[in-house]
Amino acid sequence: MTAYLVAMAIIALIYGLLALGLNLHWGHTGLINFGHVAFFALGAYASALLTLGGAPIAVGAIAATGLAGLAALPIGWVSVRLRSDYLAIVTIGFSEMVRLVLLNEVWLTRGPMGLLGVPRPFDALPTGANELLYLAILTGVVALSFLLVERVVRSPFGRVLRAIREDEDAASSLGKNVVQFKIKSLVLGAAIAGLAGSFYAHYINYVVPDQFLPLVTFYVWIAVILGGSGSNVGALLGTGILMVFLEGTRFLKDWGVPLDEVRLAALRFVVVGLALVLLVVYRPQGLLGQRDVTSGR
Amino acid sequence: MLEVHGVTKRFGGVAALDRCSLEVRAGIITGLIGPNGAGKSTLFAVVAGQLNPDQGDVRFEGRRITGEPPHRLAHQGLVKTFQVTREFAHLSVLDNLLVSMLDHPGEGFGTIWLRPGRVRQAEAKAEARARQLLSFLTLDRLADEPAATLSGGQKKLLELGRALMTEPRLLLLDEPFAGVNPTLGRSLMRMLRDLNEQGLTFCVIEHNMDAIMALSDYIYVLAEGRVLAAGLPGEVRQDRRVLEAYLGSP
Repeated sequence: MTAYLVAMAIIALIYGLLALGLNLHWGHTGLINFGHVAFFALGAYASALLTLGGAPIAVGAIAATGLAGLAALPIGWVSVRLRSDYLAIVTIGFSEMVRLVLLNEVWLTRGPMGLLGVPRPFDALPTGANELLYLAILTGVVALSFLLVERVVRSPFGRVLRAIREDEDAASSLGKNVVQFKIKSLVLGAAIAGLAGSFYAHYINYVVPDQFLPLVTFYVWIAVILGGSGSNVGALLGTGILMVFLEGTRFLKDWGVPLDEVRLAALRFVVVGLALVLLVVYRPQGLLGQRDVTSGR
Repeated sequence: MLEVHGVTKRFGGVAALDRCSLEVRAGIITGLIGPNGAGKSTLFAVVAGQLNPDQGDVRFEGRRITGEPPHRLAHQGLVKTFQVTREFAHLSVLDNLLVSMLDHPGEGFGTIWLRPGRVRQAEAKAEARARQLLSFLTLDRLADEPAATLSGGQKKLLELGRALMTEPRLLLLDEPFAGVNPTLGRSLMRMLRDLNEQGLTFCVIEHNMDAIMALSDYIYVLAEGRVLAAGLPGEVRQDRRVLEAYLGSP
């Protein structure tokens, strides 16, 4: 049971990183990024390929962060002339493009076979102990990322991002280079997602394109909306609640709910979708919505 | 200070501006009037870099600025307010002003980490200026409220305050008196006069004839995308062509 809880916590924290990045994009800058999973995938594959090639895991993690951040640059340039809803289409297209490249560039990614045997850190330690250590390090990384984005959004820089979220024409007429600010926000959030990808690859030990379906993006969206767009605590809280729900419903049949795994999985989607609709209608600000956040003074 | 030369802007087959030329002189308040659809707001949008003209050019202090984006013009001292207020609704009134300061070092991503002292210093300076403006605009009690909660007239004042935070040299105001009650309107008029005496140049679009006649030192009348008449308020008021444009020909 402990092992199960540790595993669940690790996955939840990885999603927490994704949520922190998306919250910077959507919650603070108002960018509708429907392709967040692409940065996650690029990070996972970059780290997997490098470490399989013999690089230390730390190098893989740094490269994953950097590559995902760089990948956000072209999105930023393309989005220069796009209003929010078009950016949504471009980003979802981008994430599917990344997945299809990973699926088809077999010489590099082994395509649908995926990359197996991605090294796991602390392998010398006994099972259990190594996972706990992984959890501890990941917790530290999530805490640092949280402090980083918190500092960013409370700074005058973050205040400009929120001004752009509210009205980019007004921000522009008041002297803000909207494109540059958007690109910085995209790059930072994407870099955090890339780091999440690295942690994912080295924890699961293999990467295949099927792990990076658009569904991942939408889970992160649900977590951010549930927690409250614009609140970093909310992003983490929303992730926690979503994970407990997704995992917890596995045990329903132990409690005598007469549904097999397949039906349960389908029902889970129904409930998640319904919850999202109800949330947006009745409590659009989420649990800890902080759209009225003021900058730190 | 500002020269508009033969600017044409078409939307589909309609020329909103048709070889329009005018000049805004430094130090005075220039009024811009004309019937609906005369092209006033389009002219402002072209000058402020929000629309590219099809023809003609715009010069600001002798430099050609045609087609430059709004954020660059703001840095040169040319700022326009919006006809319908565009406050940052979920930001506090104070933050609306603070975010409008130009060249705040805390808006540099690196500076936040490397020069926190400088950021704090700039922030303190920005806040002092913002609070001063808020009390000038009689919004000081509302500093911490979200801008969305302000009344229509207060939003107009906030819009003006944000523009003033950028310390412009030429301010284009698009209908500053629309939706403002008469008492607030009178104090707004006094504020604009005060600012003008302190050296700020204005160009103002306004439909309220009493207000614009009292406020302006010089007036351009636009109709069908061009300058129909120009002169001192007293002259323009007597001009037969202007009366026709407003009231229809007899």
